[in-house]
Amino acid sequence: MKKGYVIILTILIIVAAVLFGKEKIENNNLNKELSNLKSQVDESNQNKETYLKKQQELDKIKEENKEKIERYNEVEEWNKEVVKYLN
Amino acid sequence: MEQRSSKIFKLVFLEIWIIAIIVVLFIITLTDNQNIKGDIDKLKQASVDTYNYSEIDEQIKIYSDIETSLKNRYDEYYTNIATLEQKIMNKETDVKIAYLTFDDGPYDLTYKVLDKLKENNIRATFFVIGKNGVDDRYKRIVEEGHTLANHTYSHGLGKGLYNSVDSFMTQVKKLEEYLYNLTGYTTTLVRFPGGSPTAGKLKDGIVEQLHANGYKYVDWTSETGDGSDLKLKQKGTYQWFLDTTQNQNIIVLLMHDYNASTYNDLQKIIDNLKSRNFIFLPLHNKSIMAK
Repeated sequence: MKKGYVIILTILIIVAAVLFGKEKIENNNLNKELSNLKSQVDESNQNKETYLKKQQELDKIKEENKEKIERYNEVEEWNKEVVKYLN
Repeated sequence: MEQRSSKIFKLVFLEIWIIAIIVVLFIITLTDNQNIKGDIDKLKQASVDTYNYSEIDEQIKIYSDIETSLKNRYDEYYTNIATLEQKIMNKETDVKIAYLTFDDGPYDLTYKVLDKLKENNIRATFFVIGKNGVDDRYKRIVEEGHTLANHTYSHGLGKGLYNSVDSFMTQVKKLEEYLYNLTGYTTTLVRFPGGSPTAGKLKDGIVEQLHANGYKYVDWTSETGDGSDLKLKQKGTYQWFLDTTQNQNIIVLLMHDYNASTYNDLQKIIDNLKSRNFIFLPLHNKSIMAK
């Protein structure tokens, strides 16, 4: 009778260990996925910061050289007109 | 028998403990997994934007040294115009080029001429002389994209301009400095007052000096006759224009922005040239018309 308990408990240990093992494997995978996502978000935030800094720098340069930049863009348009006749 | 029973009891007790530990660990892991899944969902909902700043980097590079960039852009533009001229000369295209040029200004009428050119989205060339108190006219010529060109400071025909190479170059450099101080623009094209043949024997020496100073000169191929009352007695400005632009694919049209007759005919001249497949461009020193 007591031997029967031992066998049942042993089977329960095996089942519990298998279930736990499965859950642990999933835990590892989820941790990896979380870590990847975190680094993606971090990178994105860092890129956003760099992008905004560069945008500010560009806005400042544009403000300082407004007239010349306008002329630069005009010449580009005039040039496109001439190129149209070259092709 | 009792000893054996005790051993089995211990084993059962141990197994219960093991099961209890495994169940606790299982519950902890399960809870942890649920939390991680929640975090993952939140992160997935958070915007993971991609920022491509190569375009911004390119613009910063161009605009931070705008002087050089603008010079390069003009160089490219003028080189392309020169290439188009070559295609026209080789009869590889049906398009034609008209360089509208206005001499001796700026005058009051210059404003109206500039308005007319703006209406037609045309850039032309103004061979100006030195005048005080009309700064805004020079500035407007430059601001609206026309070529500001050098017609000597004094236009001193009969007043010693062609006494020597030096007397001519002094007038060119004087106007160059005057215009640079007013507009920040350095002239690179010259038109001899009266045209290059007026310089007579001095022409070669003057041209040599012009080249040494980064200049080229431009005469004209066509005119509206508006520089001479004698010519206008023969026929009107529009007829002069028609007669002197026949059978040409690249024209440099001489006009004066002090002459109301030319101004009155300007729209007609523009329309006629457009109907003949001419496009309008500003002169530059890469042009085959610049010598």
